Amino acid sequence: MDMEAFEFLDDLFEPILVAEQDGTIAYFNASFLTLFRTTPRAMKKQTDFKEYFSSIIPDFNSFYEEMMKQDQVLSTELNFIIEGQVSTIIIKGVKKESGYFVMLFKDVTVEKLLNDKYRAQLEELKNTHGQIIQSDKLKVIGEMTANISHEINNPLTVAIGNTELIGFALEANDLNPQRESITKFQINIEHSLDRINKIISNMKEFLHKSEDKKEYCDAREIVEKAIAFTNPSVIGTDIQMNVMVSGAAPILLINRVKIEQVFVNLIQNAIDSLKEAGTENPLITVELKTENSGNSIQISVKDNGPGISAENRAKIFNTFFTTKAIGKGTGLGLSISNRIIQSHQGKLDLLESSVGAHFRITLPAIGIAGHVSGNWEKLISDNHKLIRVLVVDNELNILNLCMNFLSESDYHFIGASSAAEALLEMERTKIDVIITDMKMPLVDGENFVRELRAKNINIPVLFMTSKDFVDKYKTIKDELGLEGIIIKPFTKEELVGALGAIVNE
Amino acid sequence: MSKSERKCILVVDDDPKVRELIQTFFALKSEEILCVMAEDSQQAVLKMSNQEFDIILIDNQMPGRSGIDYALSLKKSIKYSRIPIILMSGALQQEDVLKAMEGGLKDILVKPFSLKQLSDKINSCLKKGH
Repeated sequence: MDMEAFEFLDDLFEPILVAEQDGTIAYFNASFLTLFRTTPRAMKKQTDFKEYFSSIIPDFNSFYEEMMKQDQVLSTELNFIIEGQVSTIIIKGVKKESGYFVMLFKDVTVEKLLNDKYRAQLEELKNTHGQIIQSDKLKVIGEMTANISHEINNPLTVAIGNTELIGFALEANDLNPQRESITKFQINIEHSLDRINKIISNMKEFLHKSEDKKEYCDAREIVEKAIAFTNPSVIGTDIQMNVMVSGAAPILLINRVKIEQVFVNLIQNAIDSLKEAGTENPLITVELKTENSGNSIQISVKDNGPGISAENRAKIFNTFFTTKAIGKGTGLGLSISNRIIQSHQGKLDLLESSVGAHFRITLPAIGIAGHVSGNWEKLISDNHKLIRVLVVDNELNILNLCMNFLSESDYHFIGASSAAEALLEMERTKIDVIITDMKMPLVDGENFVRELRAKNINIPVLFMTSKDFVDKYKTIKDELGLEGIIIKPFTKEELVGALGAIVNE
Repeated sequence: MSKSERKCILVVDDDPKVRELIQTFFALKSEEILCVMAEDSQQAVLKMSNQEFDIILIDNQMPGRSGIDYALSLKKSIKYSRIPIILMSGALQQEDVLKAMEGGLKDILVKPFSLKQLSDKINSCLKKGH
């Protein structure tokens, strides 16, 4: 044994031990002695390194066997016991071709301890996080229940009371003078019931676990609903709400419930901020407009409150970030809203503004949204066989109905709420069949088809209209080359059947 | 019926329709009861400084100060502690019920209520008052 041969290892900080093939210990450095709390004299007594390590490292034998099998450096984490104390080391060992065993050690007891602690904390955080989300849900439900019962109890009291008042009025011998009061009571009842109905349908739509189904909606209607929903927080304040629409109210193809939720969030935030700051002449403005190209729709929600500080601007979309008092805000609203808008291929931006907070939502116009959300999988996989049907109707219910009917069949539905939109859509994509409503504002069905034929576009056209227009249809049928008429109301079979007749030709 | 025998009720509720209902009812049914309306606790304070009331009806859920807190503050005041208070409310939280009970608010009219329930409650309070 020749300790000097390994002198070059003396300066190494890491504990190291070298043993010969027969097990005799050839070399160890000072760090080794420190780590294993031993002395050169004690080490000299050790004749075999396996025996030595087995006495302090319970699992050493299996490590040794593994090391014998491999040519590469073997590294593992083991416990060793010295003076009754358990420590953790990383042990690296290799059997060199020269016949030497070289083993390096690293004491990781402290790191291990920290790591374990950290892991436990992480686990705890995960649990708490889950609980927060759960309790958040419960809290929302609880708050809503309280709101619902309060909101409903008042109109219910008014309805019950006015019914009783009618009863009293009817007790009179001469009913004629009572007529006016009775009418008034009856109107009160009607209004109250209407109020209850609105509250319930709002709540239902809001709470309803909506599947991810998109429908055509009037953007203004959505905004007004959101405003009605936040109304309880506005009562008793000076907050004014202003809805501005430039041009015709845009039509959206969206998941109605989710987008409503986004507006409720944004408007509620504006209300909370105005209330807390006590802003004078508090005003919330919601502005709707279709972008010039007609490809996207922008909706902005502005307030004239204190706005959002530069430092918070970057953080507001983070989950659980909130500036509201504890228990007031969950810090989920904006991050959820952001996700919802993104899932609609849209954008939620916080704009720079001199006064208050200014959020802008950009959503794709219905044509584009239709392409993104429609059965595009079918389109890609079955491109040549799929028949593209453009339905033109200003009644959104009809568009939604046709979309539902056609989504389950082999037709690709594309919707347009006006002749102008339809023309835009036809520039964008190849259309196989057009179904158009007869009665539409601006350009009606007849003039729309005339325009097409004048442009030499000879796509088959079906009219979709009420019985009253059948005669009209007959007079222009041949002139405009119409393929058929679908009478409203119609069933899925009628719609698909009419399309099938054209396709088969 | 002489004026002195008339009873005055102060109704504090933020919902104009509820106020209108109560007022119409007493105007129709009992001449001896006069209703004064207040939209919130601030207005109520004003009305009470002008006039004496025999009963105060307070809605629990109002924006700003809750009805229960306002009622309890009246119960504590020397000037108004003797006036019977009826708290109108939807389903109360348990903590609110305890708070009301501890503060001596025993008369609660649960919304939705009928006019009969309202007049019964008021009559019983008036009797107790004598």
